[in-house]
Amino acid sequence: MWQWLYKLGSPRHFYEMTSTFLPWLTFVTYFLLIVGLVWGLGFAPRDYQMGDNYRIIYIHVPLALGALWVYVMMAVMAAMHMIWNIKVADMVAKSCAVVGVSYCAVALFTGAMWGKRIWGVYWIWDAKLTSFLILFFIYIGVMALRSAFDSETSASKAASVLTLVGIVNLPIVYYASVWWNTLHQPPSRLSLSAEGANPPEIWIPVFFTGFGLIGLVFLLVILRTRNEILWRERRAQWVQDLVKQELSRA
Amino acid sequence: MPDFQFASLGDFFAMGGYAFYVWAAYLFFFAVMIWNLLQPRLERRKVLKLLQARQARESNAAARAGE
Amino acid sequence: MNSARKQKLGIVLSIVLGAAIAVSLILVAFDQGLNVFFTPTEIADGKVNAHQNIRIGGMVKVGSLVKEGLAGTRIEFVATDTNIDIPVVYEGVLPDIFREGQGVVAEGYVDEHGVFQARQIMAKHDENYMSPEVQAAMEAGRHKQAQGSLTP
Repeated sequence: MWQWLYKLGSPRHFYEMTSTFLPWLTFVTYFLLIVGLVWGLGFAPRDYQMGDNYRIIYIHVPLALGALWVYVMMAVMAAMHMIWNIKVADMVAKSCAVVGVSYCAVALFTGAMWGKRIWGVYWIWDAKLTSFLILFFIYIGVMALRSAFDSETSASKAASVLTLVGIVNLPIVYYASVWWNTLHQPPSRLSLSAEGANPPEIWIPVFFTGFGLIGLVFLLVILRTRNEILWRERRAQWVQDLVKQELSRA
Repeated sequence: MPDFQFASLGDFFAMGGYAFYVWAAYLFFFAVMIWNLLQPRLERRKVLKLLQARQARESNAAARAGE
Repeated sequence: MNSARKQKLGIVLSIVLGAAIAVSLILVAFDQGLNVFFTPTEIADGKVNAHQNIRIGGMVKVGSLVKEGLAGTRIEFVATDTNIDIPVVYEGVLPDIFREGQGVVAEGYVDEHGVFQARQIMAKHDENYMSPEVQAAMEAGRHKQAQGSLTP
């Protein structure tokens, strides 16, 4: 296990290992997403008071949780890069920021589409929405900071520090509607019983899209990291050979 | 297997009167995710082309140095 | 772990800890300022001035909703937190899930008669999702229970 993790720290091994399991990951991710989306949009029962408007939940909630999850990943990678100086960790962190910012953007937009008719407004400056908007800006800040430096080492150091500082915002986003009163509802408690609030028939599709979108996080981060590896390791012999191989195939 | 919740395909697209909001949300979701999936593939092609050009340049330089 | 690694680990931990302490202090300083609305009790306690622009939040008291005007666009209802009741008047569009027994957030001001003049009404949704069938069954169950408790 540790050896396997250790190997992932080497750019070449990361590239080769991901080559073998990318097709599997792609297949599982697409499968979960298609099942979850079709189920949620067409087969889950409508909500007793929000009607079909609530079907946005099947993307909104997994995306928002996904955005938090990507941040955790990015922060762990930033810490690993700072402590052990693992190059791949920094490349993964860089990829995480792009994926995280896209999840944030879609979570914000789908939330507005949900809020307009149910709450009566697209947006309100309550603690939940505002802290999530701050998460979005932190992602943008991390990306901007990275691109502001010419030297890759300084760029990754600066981005890592901001990433670590930004961790504070995560519990605030998650617990905002518990700690303060907000227009946004607090996290739901799922029930196993069919006769009560939040029954399985409503949340099972959320699990499909949820795991599908986590799968998509890994897929997208891996695709981006592989490009980063090719570029940063361009002087390594194995990359040179790989480029030749691709040339002969084309 | 749960039942299809809509009487017809038209009903499905109408989303109980929430069509604009539901479909706008899903459309934006698909647009961003498709970009998310395409962008790294285009980037990969770009990186490989750059590296190929670099290799060609280097082998030319090496050949010239050998003459 | 060698000493250089330990030092780096220390830096990482102190960044996270430092940021956490700083932000916690800010949040404590803001205290209730981060709440998006005042409760009727807080208004009764004199936490806001008359005509001050605020939001109040509570439940639409069951049996209090009155619709007036030709299209029923002028409404009156009582917002309650079960402790204090505040009358609210409003004219305009209502969100889809606004109704009695439902959470509500209203933007406006308290006038000199203690009536909340709302400029905007927002419905607060809870974290419970269910189908109309399940909701009806739960409602029926509650009625049964209520009747059962009346008979000795």
